[in-house]
Amino acid sequence: MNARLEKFDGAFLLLLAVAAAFVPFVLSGYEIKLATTITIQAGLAVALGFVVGPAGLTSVGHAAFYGVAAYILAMMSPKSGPADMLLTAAIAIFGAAAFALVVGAVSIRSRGMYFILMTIAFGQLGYHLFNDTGIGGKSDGSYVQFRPELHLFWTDVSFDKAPRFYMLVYVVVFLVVGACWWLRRSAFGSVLLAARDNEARTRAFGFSPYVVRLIAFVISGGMAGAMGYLTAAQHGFVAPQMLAWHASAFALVMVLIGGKDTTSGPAIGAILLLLAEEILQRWTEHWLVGVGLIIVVAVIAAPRGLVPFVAGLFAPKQAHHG
Amino acid sequence: MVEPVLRASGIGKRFGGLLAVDNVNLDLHPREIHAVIGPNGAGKSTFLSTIAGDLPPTTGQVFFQGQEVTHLPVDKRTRLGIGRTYQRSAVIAGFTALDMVRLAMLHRVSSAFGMLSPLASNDAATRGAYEALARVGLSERAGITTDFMSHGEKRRLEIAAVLALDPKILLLDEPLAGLGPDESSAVVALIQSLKSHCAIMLIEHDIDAVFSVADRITVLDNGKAIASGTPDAVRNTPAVQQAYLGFGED
Ligand SMILES: Nc1ncnc2c1ncn2[C@@H]1O[C@H](COP(=O)(O)OP(=O)(O)OP(=O)(O)O)[C@@H](O)[C@H]1O
Ligand SMILES: [Mg+2]
Repeated sequence: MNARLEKFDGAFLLLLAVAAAFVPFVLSGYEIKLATTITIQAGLAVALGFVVGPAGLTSVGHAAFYGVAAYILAMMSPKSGPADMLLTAAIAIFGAAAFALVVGAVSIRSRGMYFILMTIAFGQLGYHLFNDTGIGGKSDGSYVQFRPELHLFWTDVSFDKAPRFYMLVYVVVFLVVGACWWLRRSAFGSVLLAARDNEARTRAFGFSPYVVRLIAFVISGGMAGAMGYLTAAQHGFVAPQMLAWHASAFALVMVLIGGKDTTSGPAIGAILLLLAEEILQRWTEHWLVGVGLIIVVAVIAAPRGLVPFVAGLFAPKQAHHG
Repeated sequence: MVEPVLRASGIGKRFGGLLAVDNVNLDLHPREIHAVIGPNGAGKSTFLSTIAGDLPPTTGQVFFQGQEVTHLPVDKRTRLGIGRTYQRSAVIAGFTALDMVRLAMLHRVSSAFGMLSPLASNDAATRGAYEALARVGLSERAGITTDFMSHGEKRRLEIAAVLALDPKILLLDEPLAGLGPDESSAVVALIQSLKSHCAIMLIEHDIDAVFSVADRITVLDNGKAIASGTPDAVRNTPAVQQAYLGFGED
């Protein structure tokens, strides 16, 4: 990433973090719930962007990691009272990461189209596992009757109130986005970029592209799991569709629209798409056509994503003669 | 005689119907420059790749410091001390020269934990990278993105990166190709000076350079080693003179 894009990326992240911090104070009711959903999806998109961008892995299976974690919470939730948040979250994230390890270990050796196909296949496998078998309530899905509680030493913290749940989501997504931003700038991120550009050279520098990509994939899968957990906790409901490849593809669209080579891009892509969806839905029943049009226009106008596009607007003119 | 640091024995590499490398033996001794020459398509790069690990040989074995490495992946061989450059410049796009060489330093100076901090904050990697860049005369160009470097600079950058690996053996695939005369003699001098550090296998078409720096020469033709020995011995081999008719002049 060039220095200017890096600055813009950082500025956008800061702006988003500050703006999102105001949500519980300036919004209310339904809007806070919408903001919660958008924030979680932004976290998912950023986690996915980390593998699509630096790792060069176009995963169309991330919804499976997201959905598996959601199902783990549903299955671990007692009918009689709230589950222990730290315990269930740890297991859900671990489960998602373990699934990502299996998917990644098998898929990452395939490149390009074949990698995409493998991730779709694994995702659908997850979808059908919950849709067709008895696990987790078949195609009807399953409920999380009580939102999990956080047991701290001296007290139990409930997140039943929307503003407080939003704050929980804010903190978790902040950590996930911060980790992705940090990893992209780290030596580990540089190795990923090098492997994306020149696999042979990177190997001859002593790094296994397979191993570094797999590590990135597992981290990202675990993060996607955290987002699935939050979604299940928010809605109190899980369904097989959460794992389906449509969901994976929609997250990928967010990543690409915002810009896979930045951390802020996928988040901005998520916010724009979900807001557009929300607004168009109120306006017309043919809102999906509208969303499609927005995607087409965005991709034509800013093929590398909106954040690089905006950063490019501020490029000094002489840079083009380089 | 001292143990060879590298022993390639009976190396063969088949691409479908083509036997690109045919039963080649080569020992590389410490502090030795062993040149591999031969006409285009003779199998030199393929042979080098079987030693570096980029290509698995169809037959034969590779021993490095007495350990068999025939089936070890490239990254493991690099960590053991085998460094290589590519015939076609293999710089990393979007990286500055400094970052690319820092990357090469990493596996020596960084713990797993250190991988979490940015390249630029790794002082050991930075110091080593500047040293390596200085040796190839690229200190002034450290901050330049590789995409904006000239062909000669890219070739030298690659050598800097492979020096940063601090290899025990260095496999150079036509390091002089496309260099201007000044750059070329600087690189020849550099190769000469590296000898005290590591053993070098040098593939090169520049015959004058080869005969001036090589301690031993192996000549490949059609995948076969048709001669091997000191420069004088090789020069006087009839088969070599035949294979090189109309070739040695460019
Ligand atoms: N990956 C490959 N697949 C099929 N054939 C190959 C492959 N790599 C090389 N060859 C063939 O093997 C033979 C040896 O190629 P190689 O590149 O090793 O020759 P070389 O001696 O390095 O030649 P040059 O001096 O032109 O670099 C050539 O006929 C080449 O076309
Ligand atoms: Mg060659």
